[in-house]
Amino acid sequence: MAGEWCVASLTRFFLGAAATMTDRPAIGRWADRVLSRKMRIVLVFLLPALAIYTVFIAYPYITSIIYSFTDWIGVGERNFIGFDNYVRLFTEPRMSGRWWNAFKHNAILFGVSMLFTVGLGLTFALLLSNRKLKGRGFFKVAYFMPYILPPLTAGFVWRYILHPRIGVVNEIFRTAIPWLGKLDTAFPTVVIVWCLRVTGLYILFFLASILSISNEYRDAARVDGCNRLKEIWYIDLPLLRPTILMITLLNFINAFGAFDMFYALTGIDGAPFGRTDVLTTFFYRTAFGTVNQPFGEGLGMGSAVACSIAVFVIAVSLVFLRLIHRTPVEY
Amino acid sequence: MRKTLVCLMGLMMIVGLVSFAQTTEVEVWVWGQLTVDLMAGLESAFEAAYPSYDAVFVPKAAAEYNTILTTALQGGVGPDVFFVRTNPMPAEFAAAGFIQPVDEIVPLVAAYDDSQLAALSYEGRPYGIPYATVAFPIYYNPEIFAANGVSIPQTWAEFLAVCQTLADNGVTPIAMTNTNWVMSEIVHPIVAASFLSDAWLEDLVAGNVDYTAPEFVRTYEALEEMRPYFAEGWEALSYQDMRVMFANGEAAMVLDGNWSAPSFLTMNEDAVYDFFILPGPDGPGRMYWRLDAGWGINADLDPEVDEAAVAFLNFLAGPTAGEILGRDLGLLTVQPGTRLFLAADITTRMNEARDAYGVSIQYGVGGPFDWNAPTVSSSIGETTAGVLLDAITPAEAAAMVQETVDQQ
Repeated sequence: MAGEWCVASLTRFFLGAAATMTDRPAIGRWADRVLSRKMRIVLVFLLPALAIYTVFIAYPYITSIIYSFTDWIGVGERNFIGFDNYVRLFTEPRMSGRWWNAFKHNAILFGVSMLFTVGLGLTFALLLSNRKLKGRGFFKVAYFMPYILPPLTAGFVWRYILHPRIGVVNEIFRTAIPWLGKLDTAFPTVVIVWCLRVTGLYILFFLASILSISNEYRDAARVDGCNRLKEIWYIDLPLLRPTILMITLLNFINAFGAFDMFYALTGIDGAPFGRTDVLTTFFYRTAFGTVNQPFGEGLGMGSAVACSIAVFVIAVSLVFLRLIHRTPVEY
Repeated sequence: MRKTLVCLMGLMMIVGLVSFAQTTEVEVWVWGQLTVDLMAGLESAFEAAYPSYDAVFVPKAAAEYNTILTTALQGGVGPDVFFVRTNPMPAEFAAAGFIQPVDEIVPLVAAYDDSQLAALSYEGRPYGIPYATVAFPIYYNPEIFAANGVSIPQTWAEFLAVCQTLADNGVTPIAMTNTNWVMSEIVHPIVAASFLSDAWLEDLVAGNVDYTAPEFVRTYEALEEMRPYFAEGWEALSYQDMRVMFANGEAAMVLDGNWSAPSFLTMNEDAVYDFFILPGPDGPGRMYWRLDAGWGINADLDPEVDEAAVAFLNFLAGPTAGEILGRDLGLLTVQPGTRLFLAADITTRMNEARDAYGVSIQYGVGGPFDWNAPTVSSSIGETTAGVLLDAITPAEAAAMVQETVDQQ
């Protein structure tokens, strides 16, 4: 009954929109009454993307939230258990210990990546913004090249570059250090590899923003006797504030969603001994298990982990977005 | 008119012949491309015995096999026949209706060992044909041993002395990896089999002792004693790196499963190797072995494919398949009537050693403490790595394993 009503309504809607677009007399009187002509045309074009978004984004989100309130292991029965998964996740020492251990690693990754992407990225972008610099084109490509490789591929390549017996790094330094295997070198190594890959992209973001700053400001500053450093401090940095905040937000989302490279470099167990475990690898193990634990802790618990990550990332992202909207800079 | 009729009849005959000649495919999932390559002989033998059926082996990454199989079966696009790990996997699949019981479709099941069938059963019915038992020796390079004047050790102290002599002579004693599943399935069980008595293991399963007992702590201490003799950089070596290192003669020994015996020759056709059982504290040790996996059959098959899959299962359950798997994959006997006539000498001797010195009480993988999450085997893997990396002490490791049991 409801399905038939939906189909009939949609049919009248589209017929009305089509008739409007071709300037023929409207057939769908219902569509005419409810929506303006412009809105109907807009919705017609938006509907395919909305359908894809619903199927591939919204539906998995919603089902994941639903599963997080069940004891489902991925096969068999699914029983509603309320907030038990969340309670276990944050009170059971084994689970909460691993969650906070992984969270700590993501937070460190975010902090270090800020140094690379905003610190180094902005510095290199300011250098590259000098049009008199020879080889600008080459440097732009060179910095961006690492980002071209998908993170999984880059991770597997780096695994061999860092190999203790045949790796290039150990050949150059004439050592046999197991960079990805020692307790105190594994995580810093993964973080550096991750940052080296993404920094190039942010250099280009900053460069584009710097080049979009009107030369009028610089001309006026030079008339007032500013050197390049003062130009950067008084003109570039204030006008780049929205870009810096946006890149901080992107960094934050990427850092807390990092998975591919960690999986490729050190596996799903967060080896060695949890030193490279991040929230996404923790989620994967919890939801899908490992060789020795076929069903993990179950998809229900895994969904609870995923939802906890999503809640945190969305909450912080909303704060960042408000900051971005509140900091326009005008001269 | 006559010509048209003749042409039509000819066309019908051709269509009929083509249909008759078409084979029914059975999709079989196994873990690893190497397994697929080594199963070429099995595939040929099946197709020779059943010309109208065609077995198509599809490799899936071993580390993700559980997830891939579960997702495929849950989504209704699973394979026809597939590896299924020991319980809880077949029990959960059976409860969900994904796999069929095999007792009525494979008469040979009645001749299998009850304990092996139990590991693949649900509510008293077997849901898989046992595929292989796996055993865990120490492989060693006899040429390296002879060149350094050492022989097979008979006690734990002698074993450490052999390692020290090799190290003093500049030879890497033991190739090793830092992979979680290798720690839980290979490294720790090899030591535990020689250090834990049958009586202690029975008490453990009965609940009279737990993992914090000094006997279990001692297994971690023994691993600590082995650590100085691991290959340099072992912390970042993969399982394959470890095997290649041994196959190429870059290390004198490696702890590995029986399945690697034919694999070493694919890595280095001149590889030289033999095996011994890790000795215990006071004398000869025991070799840990267990059922590795079974063959399951999808419960949702078209009648034609179901018939072919059942034929394949019956073939797998018989001694012909057992002989071929022994010859090509170095697997130990599980099919009733298999004598390993075709297997390499090392496989036959390993089978005899398993019968003479084997221990199969399952304290870890597939054992009674692995039915519910969190599993003891995953905890053993993690804690073994933790001890070898000096992150935790043996006593802490044992306590963590017991904590895992307490939380089940």
